[in-house]
Formats: sequence, C-alpha cells, structure tokens
Amino acid sequence: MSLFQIQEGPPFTVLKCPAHFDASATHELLERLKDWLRHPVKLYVLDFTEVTQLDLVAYRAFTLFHQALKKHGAYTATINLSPALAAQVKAGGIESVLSPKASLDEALESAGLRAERPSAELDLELLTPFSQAIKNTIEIQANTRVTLGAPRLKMSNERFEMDVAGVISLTSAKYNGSIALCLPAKVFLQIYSNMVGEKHLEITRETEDAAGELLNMIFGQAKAELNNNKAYEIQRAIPTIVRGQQLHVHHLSRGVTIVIPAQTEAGEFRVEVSVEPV
Amino acid sequence: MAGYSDLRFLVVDDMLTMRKIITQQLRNLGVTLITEANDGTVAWDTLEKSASAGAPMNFIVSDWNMPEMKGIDLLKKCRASTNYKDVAFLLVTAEAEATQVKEAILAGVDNYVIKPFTPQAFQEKLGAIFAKRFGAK
Repeated sequence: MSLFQIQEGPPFTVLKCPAHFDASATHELLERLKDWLRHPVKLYVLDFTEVTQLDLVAYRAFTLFHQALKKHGAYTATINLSPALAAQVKAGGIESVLSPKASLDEALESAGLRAERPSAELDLELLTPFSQAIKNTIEIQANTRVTLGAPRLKMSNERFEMDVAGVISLTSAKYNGSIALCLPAKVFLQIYSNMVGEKHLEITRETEDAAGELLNMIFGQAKAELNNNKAYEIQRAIPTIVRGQQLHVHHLSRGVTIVIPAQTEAGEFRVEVSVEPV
Repeated sequence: MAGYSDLRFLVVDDMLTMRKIITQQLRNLGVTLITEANDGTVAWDTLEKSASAGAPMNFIVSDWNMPEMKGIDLLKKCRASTNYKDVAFLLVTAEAEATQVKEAILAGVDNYVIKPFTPQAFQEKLGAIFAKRFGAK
C-alpha cells in the first residue's frame, strides 16, 4: 500500500506526502521516480499538508528526484509546508531543490501551466451571464440562498464528488462546448426539497430531472443575455441527466474548462463551462 | 363568473419536476381538474380525446422546449384548430430571448412566464389570462 496519495496527470502529478517522511517514504518516492522518468509529466508537486516530521534521509532523495526530473524537462515544487518545516528545509540547504510554493496555482504558474487560462474578456463576457443565472435560478426557483465563488480553471486531474449532473451542449457562433451542473446528493436533495416541497432521502428517477430543469433555466437565461446583447447565436438545447456514484464529467471540447463554484447551506455544488472558439 | 375550479387545465412539460411545481401552484389557486403531458405530441392527443369526450381543455400551461413537439408548435396547432383556437394558453419557459417572445406573441400566446419564476409571478400571469378569457363568463 502506498504511503502517498497520488493524483496523476498529465499535465501534472500531485503527491500528498505521509505525516512522517522517513526512510520508507523516501524509498517509495525513488521507486516511483523510476516509472515517472519513462513518461514524465510537466510538473511534480509534493504536498506537505500532512507532514509533521521530515527525516534527514529524505534530503538526498529530494535532490535526486529534482535533478532527474529536471533532466527530462519536468519541474518539481512543494506546497503546504508548515512554518517549522519551511525553516528546516531552508536550514538544511534543500530549499532550491524542493522549491516551496504558496499554493498549487503558484506551482502551476511556475511550471508554465497557467498559460491555458482563458482571457479576461472570455471570463467576463461568457461567464458573468452564467454566474448571474446560477444565482437567480437557485434563489428564485428553489428558494435557496447561494454564494458564488470566483470562476477558476479546472485542473486536469481534479475530482469533485457529485451524485447527479445535468449536461447541455453549447453551440454558438463564437464558442462550442458543454455546460454541466454538478451536485452532490445532499445539496441536490435540499434544493429539491426547497423547490418542490417534498423531502427525499435519496435521488431517484422521479427526482433526478430537477438537475436538468435547473440547468435548463441557467442555460436559458445566459443564452438570452448572450444572444440579445452579444450576438452569440447560441442554439437551443435539451439537457441530459446522469446519476450515480463517483460521477466524473469529462468535457469533449479541446478548450478550457472553467469551474463556477457555488455554496449553499447544504454544501457546495458547481457549474462547469467548457468551451473552445469556433 | 367561472372560477379556477370550473376549468380543465392541461400542464405540458417534459420535466416531471416542473409539472409538479406548476400543478402545486394551480392547486393552491383552487384548480382541481388537471391533466399532465410530458410532450407536445402527447398533449395534442390528450386535447383531441378530451374534445371528443365532450370535455375539452380550457387552459393550457406549456413549456416551450420539449423533445418531440415543442410548446410553440402546440400553440400554433391549437390556434389553427376548430376546438382549441380560443383555448387559454400560457407558455412557461426558460426561453427568454426577445425574438422568441415575439414569435410566441405572433402565434397567439395569451401570456408568457420566464423561468425561474416566483409563485406570485405565475399567479399574476395566470390571473391576467383568466380575467381576459373567462372574466365575463
């Protein structure tokens, strides 16, 4: 069993390190390095969130890890170091090897992986109508208060736990792609209860179409705004609904996927907008 | 003067959730005679059968965007028919574009509710149609 929790890319891999980075962890890291060197991704990030103890034996391994990957054109970085560990790393002379970063975003940026970020123009013009439509729809139709987070780029290996999703295709004069409304069961059932006045303990065939109806409303409002005022010529579309455990939405467009996170009392849900220029 | 309870309503939407919401709101207003259809084609079949049985529908509340026959096509079919050319017709839809609203008005819709909507907005639009179509009965 692995001592690390690993989310493998491409374009990057994140290794959540064990609480005690000892000889065993060091050994496993170097063993895995052999595999990675065959087909390296662009960036390897060591996540030190859980690490409270870092043994000296690891220092040399970090140096090997960094140098070997660098030879293959890959970057390494470290995130979530505690102040004590940051001081230890600095005193141990391995700061340049571990390359500590304040966040995963900063690590991605340092490896040139943020170049895919959509333009500010796209952010504002396309995303604002969708953000407004999410808030309007959930608050008006489902009587559920929503706080929206800032839209951000979806990471290639990012997973969001959800139990039901509505998906609709976007065909327009400017962009093509897809929109997905992704809801964990707890959030969906609370929204459903507020909207229809019925309490359910699980998502059923009878209740699941609410995800499609909500997405339909979000899509309709954003479409009206973009077609009336921005000449997008977005075509009408009918949503499809998927339900199950460990759902993952994979958008087929070759462009970027933007996540619009939304918080309710029952938890977080999200809308994913994946588009590529026509 | 007729009341809501005297009228036969047909609620048309491909989404069960939306049919539930509309049906609940109609019941809250005192409507008791409600039939549901999940598509324009099914709705038209229901309309014909109810007319043949001597109990035609008085009021249609329909979605626009449905897989087989769309709400706008159901509206046009009603207005072109003998039995339903004067039926009360409310479109409840997420289609909020100016061109679509215009198309619905030209096709003879009585009123138009854009989703998402509050119970108050729905009641106001329904009440306006009721006053126009049945107020002087």
